[in-house]
Amino acid sequence: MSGLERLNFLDRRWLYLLIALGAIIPMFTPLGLSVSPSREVEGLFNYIEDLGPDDTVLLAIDYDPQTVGENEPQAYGVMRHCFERDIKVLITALSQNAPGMAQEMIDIVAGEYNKQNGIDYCYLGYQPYPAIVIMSIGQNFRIPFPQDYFGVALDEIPLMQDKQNYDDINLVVSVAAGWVAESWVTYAKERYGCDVALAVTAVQAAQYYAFWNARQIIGLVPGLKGAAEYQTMMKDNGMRYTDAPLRGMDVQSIEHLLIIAFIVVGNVGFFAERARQKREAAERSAKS
Amino acid sequence: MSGEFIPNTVAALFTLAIFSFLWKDNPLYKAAESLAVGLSAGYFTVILISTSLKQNLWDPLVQDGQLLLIIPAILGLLMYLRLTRRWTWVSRYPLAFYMGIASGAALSPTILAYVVRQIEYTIVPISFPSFAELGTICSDAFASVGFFEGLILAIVGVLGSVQNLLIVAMVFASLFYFFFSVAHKGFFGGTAKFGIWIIMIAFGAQFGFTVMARISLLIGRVQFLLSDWLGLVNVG
Repeated sequence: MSGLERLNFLDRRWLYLLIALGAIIPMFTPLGLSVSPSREVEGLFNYIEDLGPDDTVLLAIDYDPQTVGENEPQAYGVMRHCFERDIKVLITALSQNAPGMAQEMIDIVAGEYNKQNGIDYCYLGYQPYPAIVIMSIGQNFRIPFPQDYFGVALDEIPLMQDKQNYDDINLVVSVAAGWVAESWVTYAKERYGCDVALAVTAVQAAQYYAFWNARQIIGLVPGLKGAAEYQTMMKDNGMRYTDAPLRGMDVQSIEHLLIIAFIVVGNVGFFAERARQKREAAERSAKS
Repeated sequence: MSGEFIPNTVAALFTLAIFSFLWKDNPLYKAAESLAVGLSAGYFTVILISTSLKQNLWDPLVQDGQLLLIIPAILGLLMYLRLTRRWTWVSRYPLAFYMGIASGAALSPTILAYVVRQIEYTIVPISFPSFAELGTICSDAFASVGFFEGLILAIVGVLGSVQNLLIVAMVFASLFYFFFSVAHKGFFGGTAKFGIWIIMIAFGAQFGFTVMARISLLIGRVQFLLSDWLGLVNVG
């Protein structure tokens, strides 16, 4: 067996080791690769830039802890951007494991900007059956959320006094890792005409470009790459930003090069093995 | 010692336990996996009881006297008759009620979101750029950047100018691949082959995004381990 053919039988743990090194080393020596915002990320950023203190954004935290690596920088970025513009923010958490993470995010980001609960933002919390919740908001926030996350009746919350349904908010941003994102498009956008943007995991993004192309959403933030683009725009506009997704893109680039190399090497091994089999078959037929 | 050190250490050890599966299946991995599943199920149960049962049913029924809620409560309880052999047929009534409402509410907006809008933005006017327009696209592309970047921008620009034609051709070919009433030979065979190429390109894009997503999750964990837990790097 030649060296090339041995590639087919390489222990996959060597690949894991290389992937691990590819993720660890750039953390210590950042490459600072540039990140260029795409049109779909600019769509959301520019939309929020055009809003002001009289406007309201509904930030839907629709992801579970499994995908914080992708969704958390997106959610923090959008919430910081809203508070930079003094936009009012309503927060929901329609994924069952999301309420705690949403609470943590609100504590951190609202603390950074000295924003007050009930005046600058309102945390509505979790209610089961996301599609039904999203549909009900179209009638009145008070149907799915009679109280906020802390048990205060919505009518007693100053920010919610004039908020009845989608007509009273400007935009829904769903930060999602599942089908809840589609429910916002299906019901909030198509049924009630509310503008919707999606910040989703990269796995979902390929599918949701159809929504972007059909102008059903005003912006799409795909995975960590989208988060890095969003943070780049915040940085360029002199806003508070986090460099975690930007550092992550260095790793992402190196890992992609590694995976391309793996694919090339795997194919070289495959063709070498096939050539050997053909050669052996030719030799056998020549002998017989 | 920071107040976050202990919870971060617990999280880090479980992260490492899960990663240990990459070496080989082992009891540490199994313990971490079982704990994650158990915790998730327990957390979800508590959330469901406090929202579905307490907040949406018990409190309004008992405290506010909203007696109409007895009807959905009974319908919900009837679902559990599925667990009995004799009365299992009764559980079909609440299920039928639920399915009827869910289908009725979802049908119209779903068709609008997934079919009508997509078709609407696929039926686009086909236009061809003139030679002068193509010249402008290419000269603009090469104007401010180097040769190779300019070449790529020029190709993208030219393709963009016939984007509508490409959309129509690719949608038609992809749909035609699934049309089996004529033999895929000659012109039809070529169209179907073009269609499968387009579908493969879409799968390739999906695969690329999936790889990116998985690497992103790894990056998140590595940043947590090196920054939040060990403090070896500062990722703000």
